Amino acid sequence: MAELITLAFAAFVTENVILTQFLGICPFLGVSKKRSSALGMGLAVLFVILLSSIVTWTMYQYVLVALELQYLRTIVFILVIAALVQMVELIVKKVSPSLYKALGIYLPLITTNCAVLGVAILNIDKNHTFIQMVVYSGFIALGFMFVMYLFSMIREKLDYSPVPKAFKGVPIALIVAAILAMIFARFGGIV
Amino acid sequence: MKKGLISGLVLLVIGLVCGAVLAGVNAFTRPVILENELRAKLAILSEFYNVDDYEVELIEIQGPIDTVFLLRNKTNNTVIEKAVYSVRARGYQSDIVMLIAVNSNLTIDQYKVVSQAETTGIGDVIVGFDFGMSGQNVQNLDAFSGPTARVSSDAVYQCFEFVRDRVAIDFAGSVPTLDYTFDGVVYNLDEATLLTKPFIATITVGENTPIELYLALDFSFVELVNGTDPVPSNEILADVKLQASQTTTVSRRTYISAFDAVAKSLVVKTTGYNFDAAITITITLNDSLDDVVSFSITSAESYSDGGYDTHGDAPGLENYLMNRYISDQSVDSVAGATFSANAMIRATQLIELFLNRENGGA
Amino acid sequence: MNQKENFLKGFIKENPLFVTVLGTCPALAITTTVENALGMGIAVFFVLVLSNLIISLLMVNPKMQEWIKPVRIPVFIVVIATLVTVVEMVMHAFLTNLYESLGVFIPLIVVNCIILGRAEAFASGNKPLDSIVDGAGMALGYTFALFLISFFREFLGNGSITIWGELKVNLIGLFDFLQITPIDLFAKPVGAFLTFGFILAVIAAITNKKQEKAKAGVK
Repeated sequence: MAELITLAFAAFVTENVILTQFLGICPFLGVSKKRSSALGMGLAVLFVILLSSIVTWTMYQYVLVALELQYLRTIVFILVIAALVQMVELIVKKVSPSLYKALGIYLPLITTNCAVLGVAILNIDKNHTFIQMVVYSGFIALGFMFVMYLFSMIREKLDYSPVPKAFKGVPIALIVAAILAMIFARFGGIV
Repeated sequence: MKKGLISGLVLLVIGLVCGAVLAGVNAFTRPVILENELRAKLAILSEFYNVDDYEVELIEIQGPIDTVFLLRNKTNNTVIEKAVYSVRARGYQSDIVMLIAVNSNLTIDQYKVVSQAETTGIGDVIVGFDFGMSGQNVQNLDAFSGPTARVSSDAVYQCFEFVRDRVAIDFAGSVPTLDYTFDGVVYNLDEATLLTKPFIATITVGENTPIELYLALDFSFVELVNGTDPVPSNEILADVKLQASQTTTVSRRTYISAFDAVAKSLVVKTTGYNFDAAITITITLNDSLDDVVSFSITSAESYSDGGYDTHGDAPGLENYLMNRYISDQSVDSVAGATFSANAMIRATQLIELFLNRENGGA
Repeated sequence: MNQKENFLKGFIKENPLFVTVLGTCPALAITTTVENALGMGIAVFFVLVLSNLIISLLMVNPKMQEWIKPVRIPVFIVVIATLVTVVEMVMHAFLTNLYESLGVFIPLIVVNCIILGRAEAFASGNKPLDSIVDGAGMALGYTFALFLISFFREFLGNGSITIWGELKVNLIGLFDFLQITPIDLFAKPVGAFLTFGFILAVIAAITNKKQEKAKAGVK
């Protein structure tokens, strides 16, 4: 149990998916301009990551390993993720058309979100058991959502700040991200 | 509909072609990858031993130990001369990977921290640190001196524990079984001899009647309690030493260091967090030598608020525990008991045993 | 546009990393050494050029184009993933050190927006030769961008530049001369964000200056 808590904390803070592992930077820079879209994106990604981690992990352990086809891992994983994202797209369209509109192009782009495929592969590389995989993936996704939301709040304020012309937009966002990364990095070893 | 089918078919064909390409490349690269990994593993092994002197068997397993190298004797390969374990445990903020080599008699030969990514400073300390484990029997991990980086050294200790749990499997059958049974070890509460022979072990050799052995503080054999029995063989005595040191009924870290029936004083030493400096409790007994009148604690260690300080002038925790013992006659559990508290609990249990010896022991 | 323009646009005008800001994940993660940057660049080059070629060949025939169009995303993904897996396996066998430095980012080339983006935007509608040139230009432009970031990060963070394996350029003397030590910060995630941000800011400043000059010129 204690080991799971350490794992969860690491996934959320010290090995934070965006600020430490650099996965999911594209939506991080692209969708984080407004709080509502950041939150919506975070929830969609959370759902996709959890679902795809479980499916890909199970497929790897029980199908690929059994048939000694581990090298097909990348292809199989990305196809599973693409299919799941299509499914999520249909669900979001039905359940919340406004969110669907707000996310726009970024919803199908979850397929190419490094975080989703990255987490699926990391679970395998780190030899996680099923429980560890669920905890790790869940807290990685929560960390993603948290940082996205945090960042969107800062960016909303940044719009009103006197940023030098050359830095407007992505550059200043990256500088802010650097500061956030510094803060998150210092949490190592607390748990 | 037809269009959809054709599209699907095209996708399938492309998929199959890609699959075939991958299978081909895999057949080509896999042997190279495996060979590289094997070479890397043998390179690690040769940090300890010359690989050519042995016949090496490699076992890959799941769990904290990922690889077991069994070094068998070249001429007689049923004999395992050494076993090397590649084992990992979670440290402060990273996994610590260690190589631990064990001899055929289950003593630790060499060990090395192979990789760690801890905070610089803490991590560096454990890499070259001598934990004092060489020569120790891996099944008796009592004496482990860890550096101040407690969490990182806990990970190192865990590595040894994982190895301890695994050696039985690898050496099964290789360690000769002795024809005797170990029946237990207790504290020697005889006032005349308890200072020089603090423990008594009971064993049964073959079909004979059980005999009792006096053991010293390090569990080595001193002499027989009953001098007429034959002295057991050295192998048996070595195993007795091992078994005794693993029991929980006695501990060499808590013992009676002085007893004066005339001055009615009893001195108990117990070791807590600080392995090098025992806590010394000097107890004054009543006239019938079966109850505690007063006590004083010297060179104690206590906790300040949250820190692991050791300072001898304000032994708060130790005083608290001793007072509780004297008023309640027992200190069975302390909430959040850690090293020093456990040391005090062991000390009070020993005192209890001693005081009750007249009535046949506790 | 002619082939020269086609090739060069990947470097400056449409640099995938600095202009369209695609493929940022590896750009921040692996640029700790120049060697990593070059290694990743080679991998991306291989995948991008071949995927552009293969997809262009598949889509050249109008009949095939019609059949593939409804399933083109899965088709592209399968092709790209196959190429990436080949790179992964070959690297694991023959360039093991690089494989371990790049880690999870090798399979992540599959979701590198640059490759899928070029396949969709260019290769599926253009001739094979054009596609190859486009792919090469984009890949080399990306490699150049990676090189730039890793150059600053490794130089400022380490005092030396690792070009390939043992081939190192030790510039620690410059630091000693100025009596300062390398700034370890740049080797960490913080440094990645900072370097990338500053380079983008510099580029934005230059672009703004150009625009102002053009406006002034028009007036």
